[in-house]
Amino acid sequence: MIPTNDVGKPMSVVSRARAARIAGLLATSLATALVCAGVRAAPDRATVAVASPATAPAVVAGPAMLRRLSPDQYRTIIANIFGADITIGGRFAPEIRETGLLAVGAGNESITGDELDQYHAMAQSIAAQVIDPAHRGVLVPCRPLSATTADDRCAGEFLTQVGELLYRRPLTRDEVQLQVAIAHGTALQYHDFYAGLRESLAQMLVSPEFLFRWSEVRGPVGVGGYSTLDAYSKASQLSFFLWNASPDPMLLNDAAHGRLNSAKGLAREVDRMLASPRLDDGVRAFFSDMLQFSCAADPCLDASFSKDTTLYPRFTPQVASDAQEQTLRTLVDLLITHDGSYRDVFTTRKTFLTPDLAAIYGVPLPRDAPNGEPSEWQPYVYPPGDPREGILAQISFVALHSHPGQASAVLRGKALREVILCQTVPDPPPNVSFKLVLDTTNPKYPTARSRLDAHITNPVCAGCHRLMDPPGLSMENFDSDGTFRTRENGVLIDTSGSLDGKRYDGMTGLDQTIASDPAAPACLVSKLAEYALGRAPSGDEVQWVKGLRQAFIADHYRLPALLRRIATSDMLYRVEWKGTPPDALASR
Amino acid sequence: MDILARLFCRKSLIQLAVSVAAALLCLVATRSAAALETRSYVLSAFTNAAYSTPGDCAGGIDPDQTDQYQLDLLALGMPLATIQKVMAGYPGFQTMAVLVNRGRIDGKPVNAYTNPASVIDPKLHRVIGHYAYGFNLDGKGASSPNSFEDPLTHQMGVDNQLFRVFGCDKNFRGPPANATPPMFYGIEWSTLRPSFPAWVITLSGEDLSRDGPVSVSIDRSIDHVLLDAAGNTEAYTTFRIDPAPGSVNVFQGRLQNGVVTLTDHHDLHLAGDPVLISDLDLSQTHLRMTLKRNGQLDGLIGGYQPWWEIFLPIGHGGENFEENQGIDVPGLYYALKQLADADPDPKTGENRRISVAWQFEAVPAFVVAAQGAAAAPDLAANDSN
Repeated sequence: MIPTNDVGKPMSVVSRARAARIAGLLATSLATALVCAGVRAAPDRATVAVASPATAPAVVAGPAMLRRLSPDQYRTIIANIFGADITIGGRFAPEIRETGLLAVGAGNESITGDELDQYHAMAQSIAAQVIDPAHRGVLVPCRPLSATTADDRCAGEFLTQVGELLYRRPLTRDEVQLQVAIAHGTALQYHDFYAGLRESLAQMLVSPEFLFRWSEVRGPVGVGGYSTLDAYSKASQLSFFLWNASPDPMLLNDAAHGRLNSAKGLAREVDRMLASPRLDDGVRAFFSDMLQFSCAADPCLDASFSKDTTLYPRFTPQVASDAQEQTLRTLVDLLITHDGSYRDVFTTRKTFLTPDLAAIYGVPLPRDAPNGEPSEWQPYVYPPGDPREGILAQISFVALHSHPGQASAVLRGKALREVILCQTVPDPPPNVSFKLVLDTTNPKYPTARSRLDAHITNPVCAGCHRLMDPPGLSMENFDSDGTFRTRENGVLIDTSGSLDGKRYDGMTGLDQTIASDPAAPACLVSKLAEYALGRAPSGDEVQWVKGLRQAFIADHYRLPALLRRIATSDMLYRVEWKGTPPDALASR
Repeated sequence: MDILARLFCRKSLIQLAVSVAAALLCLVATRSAAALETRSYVLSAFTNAAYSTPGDCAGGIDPDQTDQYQLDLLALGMPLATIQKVMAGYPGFQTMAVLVNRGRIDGKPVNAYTNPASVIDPKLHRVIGHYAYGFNLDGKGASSPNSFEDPLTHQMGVDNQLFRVFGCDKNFRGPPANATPPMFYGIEWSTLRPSFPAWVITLSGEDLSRDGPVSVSIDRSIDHVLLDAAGNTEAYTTFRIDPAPGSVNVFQGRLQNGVVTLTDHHDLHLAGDPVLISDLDLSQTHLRMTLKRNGQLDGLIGGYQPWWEIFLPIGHGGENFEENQGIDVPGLYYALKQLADADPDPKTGENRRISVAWQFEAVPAFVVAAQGAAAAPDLAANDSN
């Protein structure tokens, strides 16, 4: 069954085929199908239709996106609504990275049959915990007249409240009736009021309304053929962007009262969200995505934390975990806590370490907590000129972009170009032999520089390697596991390098070069805009991003200012419109 | 300044941030003659020193414990048929009750581990070989009775009666006759090391790359070691010294050809772990440790140790210890008591200490005394290849 709106138009904001695929899978569950029916029956909501490219008018805004919740978002939402002690069993499907971001790939994710089974298992587990005797007293706002039979009033109260938080909008009357009916029938069948609540909650947790971030629009179509998100979709867009979570009750309340529709009201809410500690979560989520930290858990083609423990026994799972946290703490502390310049992230000497990290970095870190605690984070400041300054010298970068058995100047140079500078490095041709580069035992080529020099005598390889190798070789003081070294095969490592014609010496020189390279902050702006939109900018958005880059410079590269500009911009809430105007649909 | 010099000073600057001693290290690098160089280590392995050779045990290796149990019961006068019947139920509860209570006081069964003297001495086999690691503790040299020759230094008059006690049990034997180092302390210590406070060594001298006088501090930390992915002790972690006065031991010594020995031999006290070595109390403390090219060190520490200190954790282990390690606990009690060779009790005349030698290995670490850290050995030692 394809979800449609009340006039029979396709309601999905993505392709018809994809909607059919999703709906077809979900229709295997009776209750899920009922949920779809409930959405279809909503009288006061309209969604954006999709036209074929051949009929598309000039684009001034990009298409609305239907994005699957990421595992982190799913976990955060459950924890925020029901408490952090609710455990989530099951396994999340791998995410898709597109244009360097999972947030963009999320717009092209569907749910397979196996994945739906996992969502079902998680939903059942979560619902059972929420309704169990230990939690129901706190999480269920009312007590039934009898625990052994249905109570539609109490069930409706609970499901209405929880449903709004899960769906990120109020449930329609039909949706509430449907969920209460599920609870009613189950309670009668099992002679257990709470069994009914559990079943209904579980069904909501596998609803596409929960698992996907829908983009709903309302109001007149703009001059350029676009419309804007309705207040609740706007609240979601804002909340997932700044907090990587669903809207809190205050934001939903503002949406309900239309406060997000005015520039003043929106700005006030954005400022509240920027001042919230939850902003840290949002910033961490963005940088985790941008810096490809998901590849630490699920190895990617060019990025992995897999290490040969025979060669690198010091790279423990704890180090791998702490390394990502180190970078995120460094970024949040500099960019949010101290409102520092983004350019300084490449040269900052301030960071945070655990005993495990300090050991692999080879620096003293006396613990200040009772012994036996697994990991205590402590601030640490490197001395001036230390090669460890900046996030590029941290394990999360140099070890992630290395081979399991050896460091890789090529992977690091490629990551620097693509992840930090948003430049594109073509994939190697299919028939290239990497034997010479990977053979560290050849006495003729004892260092990575000598091996790569020999490798790029092949003109097919030379073009790309000239982009990747010079900055990558400047990181050769760091072995695959991130430990510092001065020699390879007994030969002193030469870390001099150049970036786009600018010569420098060593890792600190590279750090300073990146810090002063306008491509780095421009890349951040582009990535952040894509992250917020869930896709590459198109139409007028391209110009908008250019403007953001200029504004970022004017704001002295302060991230909160950039976040505010994006969050308060109309462009974040515009979607292209190619069908019947939504106000016309609503009037029918 | 060339690259190497810059790198060296850069590393030194890392240490400078937290340690006056590290600042001095940097001065050493820039050839300041008055500087003090300090290196710190954390123990990564610890075991009884054993140099086992074929045929070095009178009567051969001690029997397996199940056989020893039968001998113990036989010594009690139990008929052979009864013994066979009892042992048929091994290691069932009823059988273990008989074995655990094989002591006799006034003819009544008592626990053999809390009353080891109530068991008839099973007379464990003792080492009669020529060689043993250790030190000439009594200063008598080759004329010292029951002494050994150290197989490495060939020093005569080595006092190591603990080796005679342990050396005929297969789990306490070591190379060259044994393929592996002693299992008991090796494995037990290795298993337990992340769970008890670490022991650390700090070496200070004017220039540790050259011969000369050194100061050796052997201390107990309040921090535990971390393990790497291969289960080895993680190097370059930081340890705080336990401020308790009984856990700080400073000796004067000498560095010669990369080997450190002590020039004073006062007492040492290190609080330990009750499961393994409750305390390491040594009189006439001797030490020999080698600074290895890979930045680590291995060594030998010895002296006279209260024999009761060695017996106590093993006695607490009781039948579990006997079954797992194959050494008869009351037999160990008698052997330690009989071979103790120092510190006679003024009342009874019985010796209360036994000569010992323990082998250890250590990896570079940062050690913090009060505020500030002593420098770990040069990080460049960690360079690949």
